[in-house]
Amino acid sequence: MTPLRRGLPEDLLQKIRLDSLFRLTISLTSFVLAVYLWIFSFVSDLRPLALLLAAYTVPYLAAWWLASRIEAARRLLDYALSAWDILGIACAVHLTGGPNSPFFFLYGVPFLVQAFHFDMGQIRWNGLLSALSYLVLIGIHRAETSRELAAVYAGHMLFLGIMIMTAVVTVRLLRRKEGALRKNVLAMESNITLLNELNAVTLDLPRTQLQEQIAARLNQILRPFGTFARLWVHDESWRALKGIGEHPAMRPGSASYLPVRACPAFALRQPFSFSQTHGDPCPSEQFNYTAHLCLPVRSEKETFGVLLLGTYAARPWEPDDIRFFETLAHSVALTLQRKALFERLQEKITELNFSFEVGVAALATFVGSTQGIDETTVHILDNVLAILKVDRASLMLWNVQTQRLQTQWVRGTDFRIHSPLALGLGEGMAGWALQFGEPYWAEYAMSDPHYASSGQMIKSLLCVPVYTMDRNPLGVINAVTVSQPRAFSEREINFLKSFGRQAALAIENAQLHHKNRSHIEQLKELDKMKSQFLSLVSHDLRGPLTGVRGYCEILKQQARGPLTSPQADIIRQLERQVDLQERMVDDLLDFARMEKGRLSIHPAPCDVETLFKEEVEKSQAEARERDVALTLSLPAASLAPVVLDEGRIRQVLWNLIHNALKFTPENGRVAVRAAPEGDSLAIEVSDTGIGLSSDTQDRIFDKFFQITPGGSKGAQGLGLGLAICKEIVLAHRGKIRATSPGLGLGTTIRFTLPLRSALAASAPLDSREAA
Amino acid sequence: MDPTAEPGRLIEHTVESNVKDPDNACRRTSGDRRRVLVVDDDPVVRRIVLELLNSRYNVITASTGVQLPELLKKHQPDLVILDVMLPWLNGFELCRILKTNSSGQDIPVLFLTGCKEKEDLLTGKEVGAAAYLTKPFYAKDLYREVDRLLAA
Repeated sequence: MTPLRRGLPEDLLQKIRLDSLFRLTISLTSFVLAVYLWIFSFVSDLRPLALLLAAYTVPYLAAWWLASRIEAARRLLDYALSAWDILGIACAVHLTGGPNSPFFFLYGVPFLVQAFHFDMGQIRWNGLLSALSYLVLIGIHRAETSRELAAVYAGHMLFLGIMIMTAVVTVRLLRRKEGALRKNVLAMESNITLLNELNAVTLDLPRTQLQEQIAARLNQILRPFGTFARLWVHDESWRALKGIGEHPAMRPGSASYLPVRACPAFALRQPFSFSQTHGDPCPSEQFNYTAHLCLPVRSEKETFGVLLLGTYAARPWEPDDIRFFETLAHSVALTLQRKALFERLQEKITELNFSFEVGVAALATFVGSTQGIDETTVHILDNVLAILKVDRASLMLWNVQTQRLQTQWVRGTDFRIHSPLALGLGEGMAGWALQFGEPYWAEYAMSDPHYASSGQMIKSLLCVPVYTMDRNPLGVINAVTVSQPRAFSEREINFLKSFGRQAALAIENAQLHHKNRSHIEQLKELDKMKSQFLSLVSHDLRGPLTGVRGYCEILKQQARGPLTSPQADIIRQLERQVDLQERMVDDLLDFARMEKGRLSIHPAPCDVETLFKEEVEKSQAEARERDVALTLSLPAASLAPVVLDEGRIRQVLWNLIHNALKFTPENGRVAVRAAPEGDSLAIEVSDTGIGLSSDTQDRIFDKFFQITPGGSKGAQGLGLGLAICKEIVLAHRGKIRATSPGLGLGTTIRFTLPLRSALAASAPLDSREAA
Repeated sequence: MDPTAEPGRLIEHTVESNVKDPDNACRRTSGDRRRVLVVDDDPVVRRIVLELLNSRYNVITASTGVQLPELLKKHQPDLVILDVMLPWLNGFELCRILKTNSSGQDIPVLFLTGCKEKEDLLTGKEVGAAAYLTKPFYAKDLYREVDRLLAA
């Protein structure tokens, strides 16, 4: 800020140049006039005039030249030129007939000029020189002074005095006007500075800090105006105003808080001014200001507080000042408005985050609800603790039988110390909340009329009822603070309400899951028992078979005496029965494995030709017994080894051959054929047996499917053999099919095995996967 | 596992042998018959194996594997036939113990068991069995395997 100037023209150089130009113009004009007069012979000789004009003008030209070079000499030059002026005027007056000369009035010109420049010093200097020179002139022309002339001189002196006075007064007045103008400019500049600064203030600052910064800046800006400022802003409750900012004029003990009603400016949203001479002093300050001014700080939308201004200056503020202050107050209000909007935005963002957090928590809870009811509830309560930042959270469940609310889970501080509190509907805050289906809370819970004591000291309590999906009461979630009382905001209550809904869902889900899980566990247990049972059964079934076969073997050794032919026959029969029985036990086990999807095959390269020969050979005895011709036909070219599970394929072959023999009457034929067919090996077992009707062709591979043969024999076996065969063939990625021309016309069962098997030699395969 | 570790339960075990003087069995000459130790909890199986192998080998049978170390020390068998489902210690565990025991390391083990699962077969191989026969078994299979193992 530029200081207000004290009687000095701003640019002396400019003034001197202007003056010099002015004199030069006068001189030249005068000379032109003289030449004109000389041409028309009014003046006979030009020389004295030219000399005079030169004498008058040359110093000015010198001054022009000097002033632009020597800065320090400018003021001196200025005064010297003034003196030269006066001297010139005095000379002119002296030469044209003494003090009474009409040229006397030239004395007025310098004053006009200096007044034009607002140059008070020059006015005084000129005044002094003019008066002195005139007195000297009077002294010189003393001899010709008459009485009349003396009166004229006095009149001239008076004129001179008036001139000086007028110049001084004019300069004073102009300067005052200029001062006011400058002050306004300064005020405007300050306001712009403040606005810029306020705009630059980061809105991230905490609100109090921002207000303090504003107050500090206001005091800086207002110092040139001899004014102190303090910002009073309303608090959250709008009940009190809080004084912000300190300044040197404050006395210790100045109030920092003021009830809102004590400030009419805030209450009425209007400027109020006080002064020592009239009006009541403001209760906020004890500064003994000569004047106070209270301006409401308000934007178009809202009022933030009051700007209190005080001054010790004897002169009160002018209307311009007050307008300036009002602008300042408005600027402050705009900034506070921006801050408020920013805060609201931040709050929105926080709220959004909050709901996001809640959503995530709820989701996590719901997902976690498959863990079981305890884990789920603990999770819910921990979320309540974390999000509401309370000391303790508990869940009371509504017991339908006892019609009581009972605390089931507690989390947070001292969560073990709780007396079992059972509340009826409408009893206690929780019961009340459950009865009316609305959250109920109290900042000072223990003094709440609905509070039912559990014998513990608590501060604040929030109860939110939760209901099941079909609107049955499930329980109440309680959020408790123990150390500090706190209020629960609308948002927090809403959160707990919606969270309660989610929690109810999660709890229900957990209960359901619990039920399901116990059911699944039962099933698993049952399955395990089934497996154990099966392996036990197979073990126990095989045990006696081992015995029977073993004794048959011993007998066959004839170590205990020779066997008769019928005896040997009986032993053979026995052994075959054992075989059959063993197969059945195996089938049973395979079937059990199949049901669990665990029928695995272990493929390895295998010489299929030997396999077929051995399997057919094995069944020859049975075939002979049944009087059925069992033949094997293989292609002329030897078969390449095939990757397969040897044991399993043997099982398939045995089953098919056995089946064919079983259903083929005496003197029938069973033919086993194997031949490569494209990229697979086709195996056929055909018989001349009872055949299949068209509707049973597809069903013979079904589990437990039995064909009751037309003959007298009942079905043997479990009806699992073919089902297992199919499963084994499928596990080898082959196909199996039964065809029959009709009942009594024989059956052909044909299955294929891929030659270039995709089955790795070592990787065991799951039948289900392969199927 | 010490059978005495579980008080109140008696361990029933039998040791049968076709050797007339089992205590002096270790004092044999080179012309003596080779010895086979059979461990099976089923007396019928023990009886059958005994009957089948009686004519060719000296057979010692035991109902549990609990006395296996003593039996090994006492009879120094050339072959051990083990069941899998045995009380106290199952056949696989017995085999594993046998194979880690310096005196039993070189004795071949034949499993004669009702466990027909592929997994069991693999486990048998893993614990170091030389052969695996499933019940009910044929005499010829037993002869084949036993002859093979004892010939080696």
